[in-house]
Amino acid sequence: MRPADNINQLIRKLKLKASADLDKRVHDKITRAPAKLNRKESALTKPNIWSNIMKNPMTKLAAAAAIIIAALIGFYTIGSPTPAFAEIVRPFLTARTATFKMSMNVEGAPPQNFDCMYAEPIRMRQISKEQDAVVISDLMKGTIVTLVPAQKRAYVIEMENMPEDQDQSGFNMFAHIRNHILDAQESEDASVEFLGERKINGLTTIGYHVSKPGIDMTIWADPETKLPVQLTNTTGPATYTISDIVFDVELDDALFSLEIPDDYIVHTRQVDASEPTEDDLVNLFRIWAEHMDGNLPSTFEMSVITEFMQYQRKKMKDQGIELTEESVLELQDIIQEINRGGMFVQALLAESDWHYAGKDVKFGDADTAIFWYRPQGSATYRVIYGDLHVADVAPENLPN
Amino acid sequence: MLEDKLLIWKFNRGSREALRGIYEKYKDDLVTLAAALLTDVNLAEDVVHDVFVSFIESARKFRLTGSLKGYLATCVANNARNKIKASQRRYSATLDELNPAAADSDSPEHRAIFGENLSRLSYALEQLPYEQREVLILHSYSGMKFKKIAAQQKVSINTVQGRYRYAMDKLRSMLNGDPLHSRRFALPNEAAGGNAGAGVRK
Repeated sequence: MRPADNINQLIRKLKLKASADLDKRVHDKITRAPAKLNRKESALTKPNIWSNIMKNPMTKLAAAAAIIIAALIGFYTIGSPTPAFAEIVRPFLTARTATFKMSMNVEGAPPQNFDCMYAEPIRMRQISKEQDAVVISDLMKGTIVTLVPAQKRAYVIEMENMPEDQDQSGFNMFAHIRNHILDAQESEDASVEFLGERKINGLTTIGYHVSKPGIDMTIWADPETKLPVQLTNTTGPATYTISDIVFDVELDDALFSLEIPDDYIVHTRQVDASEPTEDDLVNLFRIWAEHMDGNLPSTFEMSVITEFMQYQRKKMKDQGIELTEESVLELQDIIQEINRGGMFVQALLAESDWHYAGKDVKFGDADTAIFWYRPQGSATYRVIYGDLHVADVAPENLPN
Repeated sequence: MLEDKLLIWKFNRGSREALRGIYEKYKDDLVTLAAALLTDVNLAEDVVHDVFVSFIESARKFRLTGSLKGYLATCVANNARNKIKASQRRYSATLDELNPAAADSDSPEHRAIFGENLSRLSYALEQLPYEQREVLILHSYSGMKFKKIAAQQKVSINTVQGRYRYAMDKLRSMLNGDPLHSRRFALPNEAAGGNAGAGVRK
């Protein structure tokens, strides 16, 4: 341990409690600000589709044109105003619990269907129809439990080192949707487009498409009840569709219990959930080269993970190694390490100007740059070479 | 993070419950931060109170761009710094020399701000110049990046890193009993602490 670590540990132990006097003073202030706060409550119901559309200058002309066309073809019926986007998504933001069906489609994989239950703060119970498995997650506790009743096995993932302010919603579809809606409502570069009407299972619905870098979501709702009927969210190669949504259902806490039945065999794995760093990216290249016979990834797309898995399976088959539960778990661990490197790149901002050029470069080539990016606020680039040494390089000295 | 976004969303739409939720969630951390910066619990609570009063006034227009905890910590640090500057003007002292509680810094009550177990650290922190203490506490306690602290203090990142190194060196020397740094530290009655962990209010 570095000497500084001891001092830092001591400093982190500092702990005071706010006094009852401070509690009273602040709570009094909150109570005494009713007029100001009440005024804002109207914003909860105020339609804001117009402001959402007009936030994005790119959509201004399109929005104007759409409204003129809608008026011409009688799209809006006078006396029956279209519910605003804010009204339709509101249950996603205010519900304490929900149940829904979810289908997941990933390119190149069979679709999967789940019956889901959500409970605040970030709990979820998913029943996989195809795999006869129940997945229960409680992200405040950093734990995901998968129960396979037919095999009486439980697979437990414990997420360690999760930063306090990290967005964990990626592991919980309801929270993920909630996050997207909040982003779309608060962000300057988000746009919400009205899609008009569509019949879903005989019901006339109206739709909105929400888009922002990283968000591609469509919501269809019943214009009478103003409740969402179907929502589709696309993240990378995966598309999730949720339907049969019921908000604020009475759900027993026991449904979200992380306790495992006594007669189950338990496999527990710890996953490092800390913020990924450049070292994780370097580690990705090292692991890749070690398991892919000295080659580096052909591209930096999600699809290479499938390529990696197929290669490993083929290698095992060629070597006459059987695919056992242990070997699958081992492979999953490797994938997780690779994922951390991918997550580091995913978190890089567009202005980081990152490039991958490792295709056809042999592991160990100290002269060829395979990846470079510019850290935020830096004048120079961080360049990773084929032998995985890293250097700071001025922009004019980057490879072509 | 998501919970905070939701709290802000509700707060911006007039939810007093959300505002109370934010206060309850972060009050202890913020009082601790302010007390570590100001080495005075009463002043620290005034700072946290003022920060929340300003926060209430920001309803409707508040936009969360980073973490809520980071935002509130920044507000506390700015407010604490203003308090220090105001004291500086009153006492015509230089910022580096200033210690709002210098008059009774040897008192056992003062050293017991964070409880007897941490009294050595608490006392050593008091001996640091304010800017160094601020960098150290914001970085080590609040987890703030040097770059953000530099922007907040309106100095270069090198200056911030330098202040952090100086603060660490001094603390290490004091805590390890270096006679040069610990002479004053060694004199007070270390064992006299009292009120462990409770926080002393003058």
